[in-house]
Amino acid sequence: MARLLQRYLIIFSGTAVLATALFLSAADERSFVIQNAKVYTLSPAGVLDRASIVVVDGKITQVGKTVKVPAGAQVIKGEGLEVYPGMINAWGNIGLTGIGSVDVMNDSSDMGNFKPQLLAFSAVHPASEHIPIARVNGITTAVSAPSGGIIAGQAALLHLDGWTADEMAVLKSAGMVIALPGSGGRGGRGGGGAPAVGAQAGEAARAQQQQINQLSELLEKARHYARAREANPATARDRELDALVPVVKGQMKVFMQAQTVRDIRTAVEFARKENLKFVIQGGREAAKVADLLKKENVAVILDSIVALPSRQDDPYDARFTVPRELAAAGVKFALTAPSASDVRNLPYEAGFAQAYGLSHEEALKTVTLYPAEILGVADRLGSIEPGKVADLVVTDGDLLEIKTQVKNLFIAGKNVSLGTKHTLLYKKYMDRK
Amino acid sequence: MIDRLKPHAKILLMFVVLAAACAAWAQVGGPGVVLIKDATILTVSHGDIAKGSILIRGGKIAEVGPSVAAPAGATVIDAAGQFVTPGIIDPHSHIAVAGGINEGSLAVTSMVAIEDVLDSTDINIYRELAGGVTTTLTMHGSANPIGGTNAVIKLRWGKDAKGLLFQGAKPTLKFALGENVKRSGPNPTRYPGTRMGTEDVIRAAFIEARNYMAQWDEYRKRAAAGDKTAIPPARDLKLEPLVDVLRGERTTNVHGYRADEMLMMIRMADEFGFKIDAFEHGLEGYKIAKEIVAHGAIVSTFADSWGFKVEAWDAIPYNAAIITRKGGIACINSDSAERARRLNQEAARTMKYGGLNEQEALALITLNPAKELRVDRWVGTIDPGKDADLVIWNRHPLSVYAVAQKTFVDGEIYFDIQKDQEMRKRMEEERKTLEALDKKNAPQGRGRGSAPGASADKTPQHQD
Amino acid sequence: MTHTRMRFPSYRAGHRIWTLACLAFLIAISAQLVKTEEPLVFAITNARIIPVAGAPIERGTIVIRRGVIEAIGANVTAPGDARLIDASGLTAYPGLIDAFSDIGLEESTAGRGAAPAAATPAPVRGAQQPQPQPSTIPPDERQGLTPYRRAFEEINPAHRKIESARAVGITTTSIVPRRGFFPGQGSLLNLSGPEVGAMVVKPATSFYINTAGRGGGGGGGGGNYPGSLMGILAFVKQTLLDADRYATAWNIYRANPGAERPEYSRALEALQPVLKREVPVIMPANSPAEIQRALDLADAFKLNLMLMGCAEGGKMAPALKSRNIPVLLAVKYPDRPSGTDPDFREELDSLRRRVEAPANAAALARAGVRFALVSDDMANPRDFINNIGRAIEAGLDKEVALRALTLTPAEILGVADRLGAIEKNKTANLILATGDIFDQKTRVKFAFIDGRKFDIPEQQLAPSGTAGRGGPGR
Repeated sequence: MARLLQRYLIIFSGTAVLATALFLSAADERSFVIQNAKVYTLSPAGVLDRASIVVVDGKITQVGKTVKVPAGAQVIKGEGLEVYPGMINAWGNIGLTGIGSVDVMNDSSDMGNFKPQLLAFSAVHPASEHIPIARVNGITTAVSAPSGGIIAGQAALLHLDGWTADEMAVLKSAGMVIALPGSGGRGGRGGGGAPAVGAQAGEAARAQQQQINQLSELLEKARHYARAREANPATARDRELDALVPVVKGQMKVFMQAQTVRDIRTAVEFARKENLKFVIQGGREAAKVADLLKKENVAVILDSIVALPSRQDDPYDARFTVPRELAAAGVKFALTAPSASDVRNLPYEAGFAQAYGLSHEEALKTVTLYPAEILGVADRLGSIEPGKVADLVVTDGDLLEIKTQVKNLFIAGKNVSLGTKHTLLYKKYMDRK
Repeated sequence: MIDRLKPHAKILLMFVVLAAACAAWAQVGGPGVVLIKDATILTVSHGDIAKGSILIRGGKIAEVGPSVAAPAGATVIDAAGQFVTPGIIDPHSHIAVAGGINEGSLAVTSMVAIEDVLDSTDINIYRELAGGVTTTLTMHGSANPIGGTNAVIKLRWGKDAKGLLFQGAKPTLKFALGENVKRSGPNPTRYPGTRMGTEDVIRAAFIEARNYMAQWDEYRKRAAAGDKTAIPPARDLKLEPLVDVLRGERTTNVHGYRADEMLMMIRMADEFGFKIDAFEHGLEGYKIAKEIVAHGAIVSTFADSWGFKVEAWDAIPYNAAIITRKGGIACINSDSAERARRLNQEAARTMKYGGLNEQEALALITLNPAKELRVDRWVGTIDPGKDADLVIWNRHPLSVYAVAQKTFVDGEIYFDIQKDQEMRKRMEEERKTLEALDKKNAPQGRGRGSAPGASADKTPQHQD
Repeated sequence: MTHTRMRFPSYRAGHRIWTLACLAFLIAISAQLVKTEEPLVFAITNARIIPVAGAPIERGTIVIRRGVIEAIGANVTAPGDARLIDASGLTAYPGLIDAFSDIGLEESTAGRGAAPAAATPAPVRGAQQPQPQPSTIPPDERQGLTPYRRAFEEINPAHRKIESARAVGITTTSIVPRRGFFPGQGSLLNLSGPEVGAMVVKPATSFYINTAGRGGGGGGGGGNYPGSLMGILAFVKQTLLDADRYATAWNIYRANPGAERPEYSRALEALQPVLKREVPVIMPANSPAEIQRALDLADAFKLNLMLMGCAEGGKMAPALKSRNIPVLLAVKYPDRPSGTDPDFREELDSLRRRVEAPANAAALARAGVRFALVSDDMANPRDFINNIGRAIEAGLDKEVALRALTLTPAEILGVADRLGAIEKNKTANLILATGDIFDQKTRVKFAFIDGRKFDIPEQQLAPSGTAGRGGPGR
């Protein structure tokens, strides 16, 4: 009888252990520990040699040279490897476009001048090929912004992993995209253009001012609408004004697109006058007005700095030195790789900035912590600290160096595949005999 | 007798003195004798020299090695801690061209020549020197199946158009396949509208060229036989470059993306008995590496640009690595004044995508394009006897942090990062002076007139 | 004089009326004769004379008879039949010669075919492609190959620009057609009228190869070949090769029975004098690169070259001097940008070019390059003279400037035996101005062209700057 009991006990406990193990592993898909790696926390803790990071349910719980490893946690050996916060691409339109020359694949820019109610979030294509390809060098989050017109719509902040846009969304609405006329700003591109000459300049300036006035009126209408709705909730809803209410109340950030000295000044003046919470997006000539930006405490989301100087007589490195100059003036800024198919080159924007004068630590922050701060998500993203989301890049070397390989990428604690259409084709055709 | 000998002696003495002076000058430094000292030298041809020096004389590399002595009077450049590479060669560019890079009005425009319209004042020449480029192939665009002839130039900033030409480079001719050709015609009625039509246009042109050769042969026969009624055929500037191709005297640079169109062109080349020199971009070259290598064409491609056109949808950053691993020769090109400034970084990407080593990666922007342009006799590696086209870098060139410090072309410094800073100050001063003069001369309604204006010599860059 | 009262004998009334009638008729006729007969003889007295070919005469007389200068000097007596013009306070200059202009030119496609070549429709997606309209314009013209055109065939003698050119003292000009790449031949005209026949001095002075041009007969920019600069140069080269082969073919045909007869080509026929170097070829070139391209083309085809424009010719002076290239020097200076943007910074290149532009003429003069000052296509002839004034302020010698508007263009155009100076037996083309011709306040009061007198009305004076846009002349 005891024998029988023993046998049943063994089977029972074996099953129980198996069940527990299965249960635990299921619950622990987003739980693991990276051991003994060089960790660039980008927090006051600095760079930690031979340190470990514990992640539970997609959140960082411990960072340090000595950590308590939870029982049954998956271990990732980090000897000889480096860990960085996942990079944040603070501007672009990933998921909204496909092949540039094919119109029907473009969802980033709709018609009309004032479209505050349009949401990039609603048009993002989660299965876009651009997304896995953007990840390969360590980008875990990206802004996807609409473009066109004066108010283009609301940008979204997305994790670069998820079956649906809902799963991807960090911020369904990261802010309102506004390009004052004359700036020529479009999502990720645009420039001041050649100034008009003579009579043309006068006319252009008048037309510009007219449109700015229109915008002011719209904002004023939104304020009035907000008050009306508060007084009487039965007031008829207006979807455009609804979208602008958080903007005029200073709750929703505005991305004021401006490239030239003149346009940046105009944008800052306008935003102050209208009491908007805002950052400058584009900022090609931001270094020339660094003092103003510092004084007004305005942050800048730069377009790609790996670009030709806009003037013939500009120094050859005119675009490359903007980060160094902004940093020296104490202006906060983020570097970006706005082109949807080339988001994976974001680390090299930072590398380039470093080559032309930025410190290594600052360079790293311009694509991690500072974008998080500028976008208002620094409580959960941008550095490796307990309490933050486990967006992590594990590499075999300097994150910003070209030949570095990414070994593992974690988005919200999930070990995300680094396979892409490109790696598939690579294998397929290397195998061709 | 002595008197008779005197004039001879005088002449002899002159020669002896001259010879001695030459010998002495060869031993001594003089103008143009430069020693780059104690750098890490990446020769590309025979590995890296951890700490070595390069002696430049008369525009050529005279000596390279771990211990090279500086002759008296030589200019010594201390490059300790720095890296030296051969000047970068960009085998696909559109800089320095005036009045348009495309003659897209007709399907075949082999009569037009980039060499006729070089613009030596294009600031992009200087910007590329600042990125370490010393030689480039500046080309006709990709608007038509057969474009124009191209120009191999050295970036000798400050010289005039003729002064840019790379003497001895083999003549070239641009071909284009694919989407650009189909949608570039004026009115959509310029044939061809499909890849089938593209093949047809190119075949027709080569057949016309053969007919042209036959006409001339017939004329020469008749004239040789004393037939006074023989009238020479009209010279045809369009067909003559095609005749050159058929005779192997002109290389073909074929812009193509899709595997099938490249195979079409290989069949065409086989049919007419010539070799394709290079596929420009050849983004799907990796799919037909076997066929391309068997034919012997070079693939001159992008590092990681992709997805901007339907035919670029299957482009992968592993292209150059796959071609290399399959035994072919790959180059990385820019096709962009912006990318051309950082070809070192573009080449470095092949280490990440495809695992090429440093030597292989560096060759993609030095020796391989030199081979493509048939100028490897003179440039592309650091070897004695070659042109002193060199770049001194502050870091290893394949690092994202590398910044060119000095760029030499033919032994002369054409870019110097220190002098560049000084030049900016001078430009500011010049500006102030000119602005003052301008204010003084400001015409008060006196004499205006439309300008000859921005000369046609300023052209925007174009990516095809 | 004492009147003698005349008393008609008292004849029959009819006879008296008949006599009166005859008398009246005779008076009427002679009045007509007096009215229609312009004086053919003038004596301009008390003028300050700048003959150009010779020292200035402080106070002298010029006699004009039958369109020619009969006499000029300090001690010349006016002939009895001369109409006297007291030119006290006025200065007489030779009529200015503008050696490259479009004064009076009205190029049109009228009479050359109904419609321009198929206008470029927007690219059509899908299967429906528009069929290209067959063009009624001949292929040569569509390609801009019309070397047979001569400018005088396209002149409107009533064109307002002729008047405004005279108003600043221009009496003779070589007008050059512009449309296409081989637009045709320039004609030397006196700015008189009323019909073209009276104006033509030389029907064909030169050929123009307009490498800066646009395609002919419609389409230009819309996709005809050639569209790019390299295309234009290839087209020019091929055309010259074709012209050369054309001559060879016809020579063989004419000399050898049994030879095939070549095709006839109006254009290639017209180009033969170019290949034989009998007639000069003008090409536009402003920057050093453009100048070099023109020189290279001339070398390759052994052309008798003249350069037009040369805004930066000073930088190429040694090459121009050593090859003895005559220069038709334009004085079109870049405008100052006038934006309202306080942050606007002009490109250094543009600033430099603009500030240095007026000094170009002086640089060429110092280098010994021979040049004539030309208006090219400046809309307002007043601006032309004013800009020459700026060149003088920037260092151009005044005498050189005057010569570049008189004797030098006459020499370059091969008419120095008749024009360009106030000398006996030369054509009576001269102007009377209230002062120094380059002074802004100076007004030209009279012009004599082929000995005919033209009064210059007061209002033809305002430069485009003060008269507003679209000033006189268009």
